[in-house]
Amino acid sequence: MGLFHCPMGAAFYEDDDCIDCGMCYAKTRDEMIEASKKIRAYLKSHASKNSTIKKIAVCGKGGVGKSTIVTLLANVLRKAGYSVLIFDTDESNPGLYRMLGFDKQPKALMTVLRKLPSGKREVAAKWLTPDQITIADIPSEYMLGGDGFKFLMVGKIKDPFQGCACSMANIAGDLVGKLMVQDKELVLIDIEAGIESFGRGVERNVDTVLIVVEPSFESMALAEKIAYMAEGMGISRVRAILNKVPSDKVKQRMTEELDKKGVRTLGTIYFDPELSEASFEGTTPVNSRAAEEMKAIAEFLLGESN
Amino acid sequence: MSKKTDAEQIYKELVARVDAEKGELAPIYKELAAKVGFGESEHMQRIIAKLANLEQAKVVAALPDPYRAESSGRSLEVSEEFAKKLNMDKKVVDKHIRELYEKGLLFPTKKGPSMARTFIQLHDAALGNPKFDKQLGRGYFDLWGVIEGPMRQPKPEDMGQHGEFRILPRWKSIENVAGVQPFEDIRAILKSQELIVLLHCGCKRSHTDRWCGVPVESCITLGRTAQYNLDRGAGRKITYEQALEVLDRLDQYPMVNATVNQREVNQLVCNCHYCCCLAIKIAAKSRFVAEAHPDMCQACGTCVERCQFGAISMKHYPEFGGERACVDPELCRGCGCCVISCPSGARTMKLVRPPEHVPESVTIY
Repeated sequence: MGLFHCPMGAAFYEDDDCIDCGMCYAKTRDEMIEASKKIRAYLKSHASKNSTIKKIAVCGKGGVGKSTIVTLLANVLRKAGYSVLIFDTDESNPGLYRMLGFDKQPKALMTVLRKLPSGKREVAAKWLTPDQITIADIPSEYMLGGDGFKFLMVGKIKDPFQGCACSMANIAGDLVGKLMVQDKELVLIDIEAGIESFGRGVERNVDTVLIVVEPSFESMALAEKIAYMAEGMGISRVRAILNKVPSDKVKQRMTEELDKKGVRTLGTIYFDPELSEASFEGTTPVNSRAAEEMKAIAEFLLGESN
Repeated sequence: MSKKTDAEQIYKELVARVDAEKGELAPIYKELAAKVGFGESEHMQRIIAKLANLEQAKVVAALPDPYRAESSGRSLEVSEEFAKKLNMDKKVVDKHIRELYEKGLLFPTKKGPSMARTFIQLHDAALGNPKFDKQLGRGYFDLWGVIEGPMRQPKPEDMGQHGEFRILPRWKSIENVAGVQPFEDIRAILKSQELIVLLHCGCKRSHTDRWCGVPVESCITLGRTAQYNLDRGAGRKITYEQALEVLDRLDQYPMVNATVNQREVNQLVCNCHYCCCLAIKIAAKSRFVAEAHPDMCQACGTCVERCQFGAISMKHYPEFGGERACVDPELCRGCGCCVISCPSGARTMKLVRPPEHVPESVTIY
């Protein structure tokens, strides 16, 4: 590693951003390994200096119940007096608006992209160009407004020849970064399944990542990976919510496993037949046991905010 | 003659040329060469002797300044006491320090001016400022070439194995590929920068016998690195649009983009060529591989010539009744050079590795 290759972005040894990790003067492989560990530890300890909760990303493996958790959490937060903006960045699953109680979808955000004759796309909307946007700046055609809820969606892939989903992810990431969230406002982002969105920049601008985990090996393994990536991005508040848990024993085991993986658990939603029945119909019951459980989780979470 | 024998022959001639100019050196240069871990290298001593005359060498050897107040902070400032001990006028000392800073031998640290600590630090800095080219002469660059020669020929087991550097696909090659992440899209990297400075590439400058003919002004430095170069009068400040124009211009050469192997890129974007770069051979692959489409291939051989990693060969396809280009995905590093240069558009990039392939921060196992 040379002068111009500093992982911290310092220009040379003892420059302002230098953390003396030793990468630049490491001579052996072992010294380099040591240095890369130091960098990681530094990033971890300096992550998320701003500890206020404003923008929450909800992610996890496909089918773990992200949209259900988002709906439950949004309802609880609304009852706690927050104005919640729900941002659906999932490009495939269409049902979140219905679960939230809306009967139609808003205009997809990705329609701001105009396809140029050259085949390139450009952002045609003026309201998206400033560096800072408040929730009130978002035109009403893109945002469904309800009782304490606001709902935005990036757009769904309907047409197989529509092209790449990245332009959608770019817009989503861009908008999340620009959003100025005021007091008693919260942004909840429903992330598409898996970890592909990580690094696309959607999560780069959030302060909290909630990982929905179900009792399955894959889901737990993915949680560890998401936590690792989020921490690397400088997001320190990464918490797991256990979902579809059948018993206390399973909860215990999941919490222990996640602890081992370095992921802190925020709370548990037990398996609830009422919830399954509702999700079959594409809704989420507001007055269920799950809603009570979510209330405890939200209190925990907000307790961490400054 | 193969590329390899070429390189060996050229290197032999270079060493002979450099050694013919050998002369007596003051012992102080051995002391200074030892500071970058090259005390025994006669060539490194001569490099430093070219950068710093005897009086300047004495100043460097006395650094860091022990009399300097700690409160002075990170700067090139030295104390009056320091100059007095050296029996020199403070103004003269300051002038020397400034010159050696611009040349890349000294750096402003919290302990005041300090000499480069490592070989690569000296290499990157001391080869990047063309202001002193006339004064240093061709012999100076040849000396660097002698030291770097063996590094340009890494062991086969090191090829593509190191985690510090990674290949960035040329942006035009992945423009229409789904799933491109911001950390591999050069446009996204450049767009997020406040300062971009275009520098003369040290690797290319130190290879005076290189046969590739690619432009030297091709090192795109970012962030603090850009600021450092600007401060010492090296490189020129360019805008995002100008940086894209530079990349556009370089597209016509067989040049590979590379950067530090992590998500946040805030140091530099290299435009490397196989024959002269020190890092490109050991750099990690990008997340893409090139794909050849034999049905569109006109068998012109441009890509075979373009590929820096020997990943493309002509293969006989009975169904087309002739030779067509064929990519070896094992050897392909995913630079996209062949994709942008194919005159018949018979080539695309394919995403083959997951996002985790690029670590959050440089990770070495």
